[in-house]
Amino acid sequence: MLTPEEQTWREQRMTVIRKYEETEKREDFINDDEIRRILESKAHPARAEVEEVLARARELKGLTPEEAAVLINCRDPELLEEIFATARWIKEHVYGNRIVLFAPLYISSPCVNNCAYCGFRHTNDAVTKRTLSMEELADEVKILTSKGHKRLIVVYGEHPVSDIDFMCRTIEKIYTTRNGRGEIRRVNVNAPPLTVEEYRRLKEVGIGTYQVFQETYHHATYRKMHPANTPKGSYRWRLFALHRAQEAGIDDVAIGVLFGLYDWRFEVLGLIYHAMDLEREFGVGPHTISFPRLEPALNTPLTTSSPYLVGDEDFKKIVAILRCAVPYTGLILTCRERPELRREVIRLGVSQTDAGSRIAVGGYAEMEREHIPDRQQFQLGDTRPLDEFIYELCQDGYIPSFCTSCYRAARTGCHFMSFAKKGLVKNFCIPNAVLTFKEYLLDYASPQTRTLGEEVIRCYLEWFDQRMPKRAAQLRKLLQRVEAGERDVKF
Amino acid sequence: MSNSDAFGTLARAVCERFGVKKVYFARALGNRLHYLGGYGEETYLPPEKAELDEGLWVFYEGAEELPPDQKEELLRVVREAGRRLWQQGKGRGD
Repeated sequence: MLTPEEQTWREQRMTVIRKYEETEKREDFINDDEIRRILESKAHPARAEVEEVLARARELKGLTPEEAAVLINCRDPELLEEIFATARWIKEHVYGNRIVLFAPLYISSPCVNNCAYCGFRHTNDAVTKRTLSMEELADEVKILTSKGHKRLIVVYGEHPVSDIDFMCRTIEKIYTTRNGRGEIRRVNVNAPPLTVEEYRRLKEVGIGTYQVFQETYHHATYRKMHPANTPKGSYRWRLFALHRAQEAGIDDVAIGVLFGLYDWRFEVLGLIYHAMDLEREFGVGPHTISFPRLEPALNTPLTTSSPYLVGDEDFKKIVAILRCAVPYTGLILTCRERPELRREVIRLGVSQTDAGSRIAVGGYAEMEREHIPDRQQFQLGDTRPLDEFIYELCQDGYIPSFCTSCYRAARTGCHFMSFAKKGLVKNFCIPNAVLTFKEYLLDYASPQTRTLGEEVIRCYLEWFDQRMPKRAAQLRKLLQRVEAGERDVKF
Repeated sequence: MSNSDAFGTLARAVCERFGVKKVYFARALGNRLHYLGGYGEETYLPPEKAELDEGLWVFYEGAEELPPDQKEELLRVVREAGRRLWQQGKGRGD
């Protein structure tokens, strides 16, 4: 139950949201009937139609909802392999063979919302809610940086203890927490929708990307999952959350769906419409797209009983189709998934993933406990240490990256998209992956990861030498500086 | 003209006058250097950068061959004009 103070705060928040709903002029760009019509009209695509769409995807201009529906409805195993191959090709063409690594950091879990699928809903007494103090936050950051992490996604509940002031203070605290050579260089934020004024304040503390997931684009399901008398009950407030962020000047925004609440086919088109609308209004689409699947959570039966839970084969399809449909955008796979599936899905167009993650508030201080169900929002599928995951990436020929360069070299928003859309951002991504991975190998890696990692770097240097000798020479010079002890050297 | 367009125009003038490949401006927000505007062809090599005013940075690429006195002049020009635009932008809340 909410305390009187929490109820008052929630009511104040609801007043802001109702006022916004009365004045918002934008039109809801999710038309449920239209999405259903598109899916039905492409229900049985011919082989030639699928091949035509894949050829279009290789032009790297993205796909229309109709084209994406063709791939969504493709069931031919041979053609599915072609979809996967196209997704792989696009990812390598745009970003190269690098995988950016980050860690989630749950800072607060109290929440005034009561979402049917969420372990942190306020009526779920089986999960203990907690908020980190500044000292505990610094401790968590030191543990993360001692493992080699440079990039975080911080997570807050919607609650008076984690309001905009708290968010700004904690982000500043993270940036100023040092641990020898360890530091967090980029803080991305997953938090509730804010007002334009609140976003402006958040922008001032230098965040990376602001992430708000719609959870489900299907209106009736949204209403069912999110009680009307809660802030999250407003579909439009959430749908235009990132439009308001853009208005406030936050030009790197991220979208996502919680797959499993409704038909995944509908949700994929919802994501594409969302990306299209951001691009139409601001000229900049989403910086990343996330596709978490519903995972079991304590005392939350819907997480295991939903009729829309997504199987592994459909999940792979989702990732590959998103890669084809929105080629310039980073795709984020998380530790929700099991190790063996992660290994498969990464090949299908993923560009970022977390590793060595703990998702209980204060969970890194108890690193040896892989799961703390009574303090977690849901259950993780992959709790391997960061170094073990990195070793596997190297075995598979990827170059792990801790790069945070773009947003510190003013490659943000439309400037970033100008490279990404041409498939040229890899010209920054790969050298920066080499430089940051070298830092990791020198400062944090186990002996076996260091040996394999040095081999990976050698291969990439050779690749550079052959194709881009001028850039290769620059990269070698910068690598020497890293070897000599300098840190945070970048393209 | 928006602040972004104004920085773009300044960047173009600097590229044309000094023969550098690319110039762009950024605002410092904590760790983030937030793109304001710019002009030119990307070299995909590490850019050089300089702080022009508190919170205002310029990045420039393709200036390796520029003689030192020319580079100094480039920075003097962008500092003077960039600061002016920066102050105007602040006044408008950009």
